[in-house]
Amino acid sequence: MTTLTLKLSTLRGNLVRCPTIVLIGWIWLAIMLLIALFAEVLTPYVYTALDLSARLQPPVGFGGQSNHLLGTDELGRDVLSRLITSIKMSLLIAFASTLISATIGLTLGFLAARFRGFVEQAVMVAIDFQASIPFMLIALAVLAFFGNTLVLFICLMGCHGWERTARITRNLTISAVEQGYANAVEALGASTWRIYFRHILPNIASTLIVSMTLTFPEVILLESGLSFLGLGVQAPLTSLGNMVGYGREYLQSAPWILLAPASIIVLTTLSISLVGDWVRDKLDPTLQ
Amino acid sequence: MNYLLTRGARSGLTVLLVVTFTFFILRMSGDPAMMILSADAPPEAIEAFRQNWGLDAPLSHQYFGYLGNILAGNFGVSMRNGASAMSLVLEAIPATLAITLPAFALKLLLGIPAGIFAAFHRNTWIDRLIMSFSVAGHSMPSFVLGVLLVLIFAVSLGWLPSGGYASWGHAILPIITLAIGGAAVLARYTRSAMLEVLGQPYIRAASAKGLSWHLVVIRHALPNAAAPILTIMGLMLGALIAGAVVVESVFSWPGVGRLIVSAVGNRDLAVVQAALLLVTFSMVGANLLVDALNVMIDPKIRSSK
Amino acid sequence: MTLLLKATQVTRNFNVSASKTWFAKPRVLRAVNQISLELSAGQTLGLVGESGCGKSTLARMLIGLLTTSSGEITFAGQPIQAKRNTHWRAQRRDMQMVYQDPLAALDRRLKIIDQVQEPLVIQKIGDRAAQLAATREVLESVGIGQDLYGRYPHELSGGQRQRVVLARALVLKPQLLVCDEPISALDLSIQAQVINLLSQLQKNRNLAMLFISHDLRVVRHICDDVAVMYLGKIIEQGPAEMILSKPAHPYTAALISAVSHPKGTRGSFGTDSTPRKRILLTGEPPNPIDIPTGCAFHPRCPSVLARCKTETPVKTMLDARHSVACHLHTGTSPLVYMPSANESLLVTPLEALA
Repeated sequence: MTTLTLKLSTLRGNLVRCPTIVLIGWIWLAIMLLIALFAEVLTPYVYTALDLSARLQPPVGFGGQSNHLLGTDELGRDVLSRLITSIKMSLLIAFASTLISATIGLTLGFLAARFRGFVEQAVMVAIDFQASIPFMLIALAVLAFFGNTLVLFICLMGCHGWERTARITRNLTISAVEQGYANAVEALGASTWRIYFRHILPNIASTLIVSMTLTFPEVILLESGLSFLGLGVQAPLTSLGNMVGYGREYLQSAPWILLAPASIIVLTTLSISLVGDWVRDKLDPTLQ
Repeated sequence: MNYLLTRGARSGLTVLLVVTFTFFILRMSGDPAMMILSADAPPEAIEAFRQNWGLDAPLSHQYFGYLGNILAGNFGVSMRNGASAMSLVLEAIPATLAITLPAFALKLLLGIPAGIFAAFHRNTWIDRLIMSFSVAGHSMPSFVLGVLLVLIFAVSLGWLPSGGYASWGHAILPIITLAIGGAAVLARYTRSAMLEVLGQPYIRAASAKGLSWHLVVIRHALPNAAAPILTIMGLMLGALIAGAVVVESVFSWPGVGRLIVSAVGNRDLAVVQAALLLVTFSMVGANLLVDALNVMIDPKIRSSK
Repeated sequence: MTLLLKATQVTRNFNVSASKTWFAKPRVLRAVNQISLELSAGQTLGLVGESGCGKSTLARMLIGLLTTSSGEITFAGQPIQAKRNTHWRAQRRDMQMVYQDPLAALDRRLKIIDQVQEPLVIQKIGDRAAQLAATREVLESVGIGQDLYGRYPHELSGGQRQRVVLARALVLKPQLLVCDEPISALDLSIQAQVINLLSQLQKNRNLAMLFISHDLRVVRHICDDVAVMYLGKIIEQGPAEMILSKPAHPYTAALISAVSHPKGTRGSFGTDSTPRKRILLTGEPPNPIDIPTGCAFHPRCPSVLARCKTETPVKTMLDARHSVACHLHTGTSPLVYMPSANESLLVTPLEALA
């Protein structure tokens, strides 16, 4: 498989040549990223600021005033500010979780490939376990038993998707070793650390990135789903799913409370899907 | 046969792991007696509970006692109303099945033909249209879709009710919500499976024989494309259950999903346990079934092991 | 010539299960069976034999990349153990390996100059400037020009790749070089170039070289001595010229006869160019899991004797440096090798006396 993957530099070169819709996807994601990074500066109000005199105001253009561009919710909080803060929270969780998941997967995959035998079997059993139960259920069980703090939640989300990375890492490492260059470098006196990080990891990086482009949107969906159910990000913190969940009660009277975060979720996951597909196509055409 | 036995053993191991997993986090999260009975139960009741469940025994004893209880179907009682946890779960199953089974069927009916159609008209506007819908359906989370459907059909148009369990009409939106995401995924996979099969030399040979396209598809292409599609369907079972959790909450549909969510919110551990284990058993069983079907359909697996 | 490498009764077994079911009894694969050999500085020893005879396994053990099941190996008096510790890493400076598939032995992602420099980085020899200078020097000595330094392995030809692998092996200035079928993957026209290069480098650096190959013509060209392996044992060993022109073991004779030549000179490594008949071995190809009793070659040997089936032949010195393990040469009536046209190559003792 490594012979079929292109170098990352070719990927960057291809950026100029991608279809319009994918380009729009990239732009959207860049905007989301900027919003997340500069959230504190961008929010017109603190997201928890109450303004009970201005409750349930519609957005500008639907009868609202310009001091609340997207209207207010049932406690008078500015929807736009909450939206920006939610974007930051959701993206933060998604990035952190994807990194944690990739690290767990890489480490376990390497360990399984390096030590074979019992270690490998144990890792494979763990992979099977994780792969056969929908993660939503595992997450629910852990949340039930352990309650919910943000740190715990992020760690929990980080446990999603590691099995895919681990499986790929193990398989590719084994074939890399079989190919010979890992052994050749070892025969020069290289330490295991050097072999894995300077030789094997860069060679399997593109496939790993493909796996990560799948994990990232899944975490966003998972987190927003759980937050929607009231089990994810808890008040007073806010996330996109959280907002949709709270906004549901006011679906008839004040739909904007729910529509704003919902449309952000849809557009973001759509962009990630399109961009992710394109990245996957470019990096490894043999994958679906 | 060997293959099935291996898969069966692995599935058994998975189930055992889930049970053990539940056992350990139950123990780790606090005193189970306190948790299951509630914090202000009288001390005698707690003692009795402890003895009953053998909580004063060493951990290994507790573990086997736990296993025994599970096999006997005893999951403890729900914190909220004292009813047996397992019975609560069992009561909720029909409601869940009432939406998941039709949703599954709808997924197949929508997704597979869409995928085949798209594969045939590859790179035409039909293909692009279907694939666009597919990407859209796939990237939209089910709760957003559900809420949007409610907004459109219940709130704005008033055609369908927004939630509850009262009539068949109530089931329409949940079923559609569940089906669309899966249909999108299935359409995509079916399309790539079909494209791969259609590119094979034996298809060209079949149509060179003079068979009409329809026959080529039915007799040669579909059976060969069936195997990867079947595998995906196995995976989709898991997604279906996860989806049901969210969709039932959106539509206030009293199924197992909504039960789990409220139990998690209330820290009603007995119910969570019972539901989790039941779902695991059925998922593992269903996956095994899909594997068996796969073995029957795909001769390559049969002969390789 | 200083003795560098010494192996004594080295054995290597592998545990394999015969089939894929769970209940198969583990069988033992005897890859290398009690082999002893010596190698001195400046000497090239060829190791020949069919696939599966254990040549690569032996080579890996000799250079410390694989553990032995029993036996001892020393290099310049120091024991060689395959344990990856600091001592082992330091030993890497003295011995290196050249591989059969140069593309697989190189990292696709790195430029070749970085890969040739890497051993110096790993072993922390010199500063960057010194390392670069040494790298350039060794690349020049293998004939890789400056314009190729920035290329990646897949951008080079097969011969160039193998030279890069060679450079990488030599940059640490080792005393021992093991070449495991270094030219089998190369085009015929390139093979000669690489072989000549190897020969030249060996002379310049006084390397001790272990050259594994199944191609007897190359072995003849480059090796001082040859050891012939069959199913894990060395069945004949001695100076290359002598063994290849006057083989004592039937297996060696069969190998030589298989070398194709222009018409009429088949099997002629010696000075006399009497045409020989191709010896076709009968019987099953050797299986190292199921080694025959007695002499492992007896099921296929055209000159098999009764005792070959039960007794394992011991190593007999035919003269100062030529040894063979064959019953035709042990016992009371040692055989004289008498080739003649259109007849079988070996003559039985009775006929010899006649």
